[in-house]
Amino acid sequence: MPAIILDGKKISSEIREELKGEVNRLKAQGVVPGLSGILVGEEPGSTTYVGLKSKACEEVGVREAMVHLPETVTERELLITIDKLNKDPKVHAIFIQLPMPKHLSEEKALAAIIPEKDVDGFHAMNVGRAWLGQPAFVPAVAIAIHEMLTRSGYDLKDKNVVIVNTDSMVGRPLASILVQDKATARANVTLCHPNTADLASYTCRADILIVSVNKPKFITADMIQKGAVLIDFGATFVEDPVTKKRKTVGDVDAEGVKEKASAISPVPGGVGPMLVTMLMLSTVQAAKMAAGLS
Amino acid sequence: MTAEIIDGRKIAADIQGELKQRIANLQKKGVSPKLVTILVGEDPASLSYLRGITRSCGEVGVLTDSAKLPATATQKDLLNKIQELNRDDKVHGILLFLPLPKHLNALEAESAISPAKDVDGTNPISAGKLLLGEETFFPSTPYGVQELLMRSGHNPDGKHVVIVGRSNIVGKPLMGMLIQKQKGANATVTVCHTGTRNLAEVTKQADILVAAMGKAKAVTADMVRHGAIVADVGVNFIPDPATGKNKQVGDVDFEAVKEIAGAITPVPGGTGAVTSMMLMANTVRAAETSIK
Repeated sequence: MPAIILDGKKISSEIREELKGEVNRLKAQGVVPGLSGILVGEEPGSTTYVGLKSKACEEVGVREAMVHLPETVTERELLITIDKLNKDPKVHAIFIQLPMPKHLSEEKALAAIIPEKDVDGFHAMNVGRAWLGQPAFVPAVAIAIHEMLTRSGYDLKDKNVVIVNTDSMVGRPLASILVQDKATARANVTLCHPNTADLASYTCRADILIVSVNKPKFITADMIQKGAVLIDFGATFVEDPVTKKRKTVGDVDAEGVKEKASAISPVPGGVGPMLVTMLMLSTVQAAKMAAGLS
Repeated sequence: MTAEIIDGRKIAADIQGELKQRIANLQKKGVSPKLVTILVGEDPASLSYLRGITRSCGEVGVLTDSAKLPATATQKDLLNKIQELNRDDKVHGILLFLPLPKHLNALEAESAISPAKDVDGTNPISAGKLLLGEETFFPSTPYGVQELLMRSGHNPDGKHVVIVGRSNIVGKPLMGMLIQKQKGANATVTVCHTGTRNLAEVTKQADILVAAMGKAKAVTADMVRHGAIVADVGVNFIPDPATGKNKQVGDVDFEAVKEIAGAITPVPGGTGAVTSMMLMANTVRAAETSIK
């Protein structure tokens, strides 16, 4: 039986529907969730992405106030902007669209957002709270993968979850969700570096394998166990040999594994389309926390 | 062949010698490292821990003092005390004993300790920095495990480390430390727990097995791969049939496992001996950083 496809677009729209209802309930109590994003410069990819976030706000009913700063903005001006947003009671959530121009320190800017509004979950206070099992904002990729698994009906308790990625956006925050002693977690979590020696000896034991290394066909059929659930968060642009068009491929040899895995998140159409929705989820959460409703 | 017994007391003594030298250097600059503990009420386990800390400080030459607040202290009293110590230039390290009386908010109190003086690594921001690989103070138990491995020649780099137990003071911080692309780390790390089905299957994968579940003799010989390095973080007290008194044992069935393992830490005299020294090491480093 071929693997089930975990449809990120479908899960994403389910969550957005739920959020619409929740935002309406909040508005009835006088709380309008507000999100501000800071975009520096005109980088086309970033501009497009901020546009997607604005559109999602509109759909879900979040009040959005994007701040567009010129490429030449100084660090001081940027920090003043962040400070204003920190103090604005209408703004519950703040993100900075990365990457920023080189003359600005991303680290300093991210650390300047107060933890209560840091919906991307990059502030050390949020990283620490999440790791210790306390309420916290967690980076979108990690929540998206966790939502994808739990909403698809997978019980994570006692499962061998192997994560090939140890960075601060994917592996570490995912581990910090999955190791907690909570109903939707309690997994045995292994963090592997992409260059871990004899990687297959780890991936072969995974009930759930999560990979994010940006290398096409990095995970092949001989590296997984039969029935494994595969979450692919890789993205590499390649030219299609037939159509000559550029397309995105993940880290898993999808054709090769489809008869052996029990489920797979595709690229594109898997985790990627869920990310903006996770920002909405965290924004609504931030608004509830600010209003003392959670 | 019987396993190499890793001598925690010897390693602790080596670290102590190094710390004394660093303290002497600090004193030449007019700085004496000082650790202040905060104890609210009279929890017996905390009092016993306090005696241990006072003894270690005395041996190493770290000044120490204990701020004792009555069990009836308010949250405001506690926060005021923490702020006072945060501001005091002569205090380099602050340690808050847990558990606190139930009417107090531990999380808020821990978060109030200045990260520059959080030598026990309990402020969530310290935990966050640890996971992000930024400079911070490691909680003493996992820090002790890492030192013990390094100093006994068992560098975790490139090894599969399996940690049984995922507490906030041992399992999680140790995982966070060992996955970093840093010296003494760069390992592949698995965290599991006592409730894990087929625990033996997981533990047998370990090149380095860390037992931190808080259960006497829970790691048995059939759970250990031949030649594995076994670090036992457990501290349990069980009755000794020979003497009728309680004796201290770890989480590992030492007698049986030492016949299988390549190296093993005893209890007592293993990781515990190093742990208390790491709190001293953090306090000395805090003092060094304060004059940089």
